[in-house]
Amino acid sequence: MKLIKENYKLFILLYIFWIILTMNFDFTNLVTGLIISIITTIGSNGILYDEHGFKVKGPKLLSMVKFIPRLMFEIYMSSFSYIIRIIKKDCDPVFVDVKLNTNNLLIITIISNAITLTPGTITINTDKNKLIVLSIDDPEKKGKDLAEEIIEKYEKIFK
Amino acid sequence: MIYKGLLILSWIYIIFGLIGIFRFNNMYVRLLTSSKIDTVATITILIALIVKSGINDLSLRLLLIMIFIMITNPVNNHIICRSAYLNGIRIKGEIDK
Repeated sequence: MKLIKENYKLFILLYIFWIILTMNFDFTNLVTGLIISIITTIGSNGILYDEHGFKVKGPKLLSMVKFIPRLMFEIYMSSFSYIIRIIKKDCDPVFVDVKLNTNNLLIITIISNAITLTPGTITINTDKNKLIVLSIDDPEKKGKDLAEEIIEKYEKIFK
Repeated sequence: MIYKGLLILSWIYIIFGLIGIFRFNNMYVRLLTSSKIDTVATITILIALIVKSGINDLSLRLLLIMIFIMITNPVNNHIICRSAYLNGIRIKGEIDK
């Protein structure tokens, strides 16, 4: 119960998510949601938050508002260029090292998630703020340019 | 009308994704191609369904599912790719096969 008290915000968020997703106000459904939200809140102790509250500091709301349309635009733009690559059968994968300037874990996670969401790039591994990204080689651009392009696309929004 | 166009667009993504999976021999390129179907096609289908259903509780639920997919879907691809990378599958070796 102490753990729930410490992080009641997460619990409320999860419970609202459950209610909206099921849209069923039966007693059984409400109790099931309550139990699952409690288990999830207790289970995520130490991963998302500790006794001092959330472990990571979230980005500003304005940056997220700017980030989501940019992400959708990038997803669709690169999906079209990837279709052209499939038709031409021109895909040489390459590992690119991307060094981010931020040390905020949540921003690093958001950026690496966005890189994987974009067709043609997958984040493979992270080491602090250095990401190893699987990308498609472009003869016109070298590895450094590919890394700079990724930073230009996503990281600058969070500055 | 818009939702029909979006659904057709998602079929195009799925068809080209499937063609890509069979067309390439390299494991990493296949992963890149399959992740395209996972993300772009799914998001487009969900947007089409949101447009079709209009503003009601169903579209709110579809929007929540879309956000959930956008957060959790890349993790699948990341884990498959990372395990291949950590197990020593190299890009050059794959191309030579």
